[in-house]
Amino acid sequence: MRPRLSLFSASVLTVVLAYLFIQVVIPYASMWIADRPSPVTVPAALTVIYMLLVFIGLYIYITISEENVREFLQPILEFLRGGETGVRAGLRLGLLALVPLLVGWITYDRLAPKVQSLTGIRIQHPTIPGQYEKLINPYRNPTDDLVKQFQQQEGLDGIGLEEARKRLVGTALAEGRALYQKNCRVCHGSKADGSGPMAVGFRLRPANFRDPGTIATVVEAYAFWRISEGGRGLPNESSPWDSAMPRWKEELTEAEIWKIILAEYELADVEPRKPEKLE
Amino acid sequence: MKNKQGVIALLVAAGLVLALPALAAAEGTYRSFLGYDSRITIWLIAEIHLMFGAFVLGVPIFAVTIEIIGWKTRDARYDKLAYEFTQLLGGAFGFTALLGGLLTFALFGLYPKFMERFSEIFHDVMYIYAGLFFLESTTFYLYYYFWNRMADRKGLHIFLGVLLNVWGTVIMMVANSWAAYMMSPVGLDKETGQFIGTVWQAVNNPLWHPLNFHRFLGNVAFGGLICGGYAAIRYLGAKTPEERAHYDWMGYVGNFCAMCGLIPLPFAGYYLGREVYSASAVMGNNMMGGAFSWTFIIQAILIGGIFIGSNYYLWIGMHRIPGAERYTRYIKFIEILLLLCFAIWLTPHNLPLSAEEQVIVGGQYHPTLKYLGLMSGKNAVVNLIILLTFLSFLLYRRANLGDGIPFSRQGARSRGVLVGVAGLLSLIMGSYANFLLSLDPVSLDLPPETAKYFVLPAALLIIQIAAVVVTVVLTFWDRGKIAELFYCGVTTVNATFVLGVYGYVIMAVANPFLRNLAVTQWMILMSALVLVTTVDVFLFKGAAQVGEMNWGKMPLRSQYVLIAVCVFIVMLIGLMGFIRSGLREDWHIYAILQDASEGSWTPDNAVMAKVVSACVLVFLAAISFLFWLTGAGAKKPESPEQLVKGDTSKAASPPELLVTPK
Repeated sequence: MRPRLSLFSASVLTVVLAYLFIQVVIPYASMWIADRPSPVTVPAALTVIYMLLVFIGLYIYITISEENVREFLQPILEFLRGGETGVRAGLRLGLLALVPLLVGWITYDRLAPKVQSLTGIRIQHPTIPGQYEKLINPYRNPTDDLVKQFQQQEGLDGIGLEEARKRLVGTALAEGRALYQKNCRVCHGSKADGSGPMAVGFRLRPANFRDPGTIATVVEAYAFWRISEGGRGLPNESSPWDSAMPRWKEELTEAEIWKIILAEYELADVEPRKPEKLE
Repeated sequence: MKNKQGVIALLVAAGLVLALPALAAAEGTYRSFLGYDSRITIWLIAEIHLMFGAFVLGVPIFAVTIEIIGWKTRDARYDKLAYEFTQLLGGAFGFTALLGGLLTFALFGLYPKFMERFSEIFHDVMYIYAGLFFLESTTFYLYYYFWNRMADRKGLHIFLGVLLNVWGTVIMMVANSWAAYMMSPVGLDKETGQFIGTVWQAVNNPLWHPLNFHRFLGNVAFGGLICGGYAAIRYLGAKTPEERAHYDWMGYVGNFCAMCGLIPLPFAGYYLGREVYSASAVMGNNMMGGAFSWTFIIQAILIGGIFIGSNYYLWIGMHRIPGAERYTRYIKFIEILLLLCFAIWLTPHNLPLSAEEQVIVGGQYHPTLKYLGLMSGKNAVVNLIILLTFLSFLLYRRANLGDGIPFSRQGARSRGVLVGVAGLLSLIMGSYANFLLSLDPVSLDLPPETAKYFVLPAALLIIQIAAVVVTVVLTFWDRGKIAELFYCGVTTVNATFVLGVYGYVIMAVANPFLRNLAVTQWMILMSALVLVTTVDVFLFKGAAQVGEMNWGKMPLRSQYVLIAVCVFIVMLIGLMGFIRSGLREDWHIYAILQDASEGSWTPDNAVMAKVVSACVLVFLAAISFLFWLTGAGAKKPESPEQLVKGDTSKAASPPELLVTPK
């Protein structure tokens, strides 16, 4: 018959393997998948969550039945109740001495003053001010008035309204691309992936618009607000935001910002979130 | 004593309705409560009122269901249990009404201008509300006090129970319309913001039904787990094996009812969340990605605790079932999968990071784990969590059953029912597949070329229909267990793996379609729950029991789990109450009537935790007191022998399951 690991040993092995998986496998797999130069550590908060789940899982499995509880406790009780002399007694004494030392060390480590940065729980999408909420990108689906205005400006009276609309969107997109490359590229990157030449200079890296959790999850009005007001326009709550985003409304016109937004979504290959219809 | 409480509550409610106009005319925009923050005052009263409300609306739903089961099966133990559940309601009814009265006083006293504006729209509905409350209370007292007298007119008594639920549900819906209107007001003049619509328009506002669904299911789960907690405490203090057996069974039934409400609850929550987003993109963003995003992590932890706790309770319970050893080896696989799902469920997109970690990770998002934090990942695993919990119930159900009559030897009725269920499921899924294939992307504000993204979910629904056919054929061929396994497997692959991953694609290129994707996932999953349950019922039809259920033989830790999940759900309802109401931020009526009081700021998580904890503690203390009163005031229940009237063989222990195959 194949030798079977005791429940106690299997539990210890599970904890060790889970920890190695979190601390070694995930970082190296992330390095390989994300094409990073070095392993990408799993943050401490996540490690705690995952390890806690491992311990909860083990607790549940062990305590589901009385047999499991007995089997798990058996080696512990044997160890604690073993003989008075010999190697096992020495080990027991050492382990029992180690427990208060460990508690003391953890207490010291937590209380002793040291230099460390705070772990912040940042909010992903700060609250958009009401005046921005209902804004619509005029170049996404231009109104007839805007198209006619464009026709007059460009002397395109000879073409139909729909053709002029297409040209207006195309022109806005082209201008937006140029404006993006001129103003945004250095931080957000030429592919809108948050890897511009200056990106590494920031502690909080510029947003990667290709990440489906960034601009794809917000309506265009939201992007308009963030570009217009920049880091300085972020609300007081949940600060520090650590955003170095300039207040672009001081440099660009509203029309230019909307054009950049058009180009930004196109470049990132994502669609803006649509204000949904109520059912 | 409970009679008096009820009468006082009725008088308070009637007095309030009459006093509303006078109170509303009071001068001043805002007042404080004895110098204390008016918003926190309202928050505390409203939340505790809501908790009692959830309890008194949730418990009658399953009390009358259990009574019906007792009536149909002629098993007096169900009737006794239903009575005991109803008994718990007595004091809670009075408390709910008194808290409702206090809330009304406080609202008119502390926010007179807001209430003036509010009662201008809803004053007619307020009278109806008071009338409904009168009907509900009267029906409750008739239902409760005539329980024994109407023993020989059970049909009429059950009618009263159903009526009680109807009044309760309508009351909840009326109150929901007010809360929903404050979030999604309609019928307004766009220039002046004045209300120009009808009362019905105001009641039937966009968030009304999403909130109704969510609260209805939430109330069932809440009531079930509170009763489970009550049963656990009584089990821990039980003196005799009979008492232990009874409260063990009661705890199981409470947990079972709660899970019936909890299983569809994530979908109702998703529906509500989507409609909140539709009502206002700002509220939507604040909810999942903004100021309230971390409260959703806490919510995930609490929901995780409830699901894990309920499964754990079932798994422990299997050890008191003779024959369960045939299935216990599967538990570890269910547990591992469940915990893996929760690991994904609990992973935030936006991580708590130190500056050093930000540098290593290269920003705010982990390059690979960030995908687990997005809605698609969550939707995928929640489907699997529900399916796994369902499998736990399935194993529990069949634990002490031997082989049933082979399906091929069962009558035409069984075949007819199975084919009927399969046909209905196929029809529903087929209709939705057809809808997806004919869906015009422009109706979702998407470009026409995105229609190609609708094909895969429709194709999966058709595959699912094919799987229904295979499942039915296998069952006819007496391979029911394989059929169940096959259908669950196809469901897992389609709903979790394929559509879960596909959700990321849709998020990026056609996000309004995510709503339809979620409906597809839900439909596939629900088809599994319905079809597999049907197959399972026939699979074990006429099955002999391996042995008698050992009710009352549960280790004490199982009862502490029931108490823990009871506390979790009270915390959860407190937290969700904060989120729903807090989403309005500094608006009494969203984007219409601004809250200009000193307390209009959005509380941070620390303030939220303190106030919600206070609500939880007060509610648990009050409900414990009421339960104690119920126990102290009630006369000794009739012995099971008396109730069964001669059938003493069943008296000592409750039935093996809530629904036993006959």
